[in-house]
Amino acid sequence: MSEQNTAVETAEATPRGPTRRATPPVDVFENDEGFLIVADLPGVSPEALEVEFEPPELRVSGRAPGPDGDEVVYERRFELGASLDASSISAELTNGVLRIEIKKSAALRPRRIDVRAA
Amino acid sequence: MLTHWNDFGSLGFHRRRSPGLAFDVFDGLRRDMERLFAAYGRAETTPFRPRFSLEDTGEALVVRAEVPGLEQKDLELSLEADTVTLKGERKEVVPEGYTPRRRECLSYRFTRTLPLPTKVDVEKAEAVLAHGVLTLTLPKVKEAQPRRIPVRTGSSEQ
Repeated sequence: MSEQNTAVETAEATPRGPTRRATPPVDVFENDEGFLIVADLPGVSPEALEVEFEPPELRVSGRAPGPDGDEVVYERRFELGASLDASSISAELTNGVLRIEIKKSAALRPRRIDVRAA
Repeated sequence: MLTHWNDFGSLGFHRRRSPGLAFDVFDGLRRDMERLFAAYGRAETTPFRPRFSLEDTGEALVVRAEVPGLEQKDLELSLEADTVTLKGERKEVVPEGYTPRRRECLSYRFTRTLPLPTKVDVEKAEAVLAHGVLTLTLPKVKEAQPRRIPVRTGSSEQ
């Protein structure tokens, strides 16, 4: 929020173990076709990321190297409704940001019905 | 509006009925809290600020900054012998055609100046941006590096 901050913040003051758990922030967007989930996972490489779907749960977990040789484990879980098309789930990781797309089942997507003149 | 997903990660409990309503309630609460914190002027309470860490490896200082979503062009780095200043900005973008249902990865703009505990060799500094983390390796100047002092045995024998 503040644009100017001169305070020094070295790692964390609390004693740290070899791993630290973190809940990544997410954005969720919706359109007629489906949902887009965006999560910040700084430091997570594609090899260290897992996106798993075990109905009805979508689980995202990623490991990232932290300061002083520690490891950060990010985890977030979502429950997907039956109205979503699980086979359509796709994921992409760029610059530490994960984007997951999930389409709605065809029956739920709005359809345009052309009206023809008789 | 009906939403088709639920998120126990942040709600902390499993709610099968009307998840859409739950989101509205929590989103409203979150917005209120953000306003409250902003009103106190306590920027340090917002989780949206990039995390920094500073590590001393002996020969070098290593600064890490978590800047998810930023590319090289969004970052500006300036280095002096005893301070490092990093500026960056992420603009809040709603993907075209989408309606936001939940916003946690807010945009940010920051300027951080870290005073360095020792003098560093500006010419030999390296910056690497990978997977949303900027890592600066700042080799210390010779005088600031640890030195091994040889200990000789004294002549205690007669």
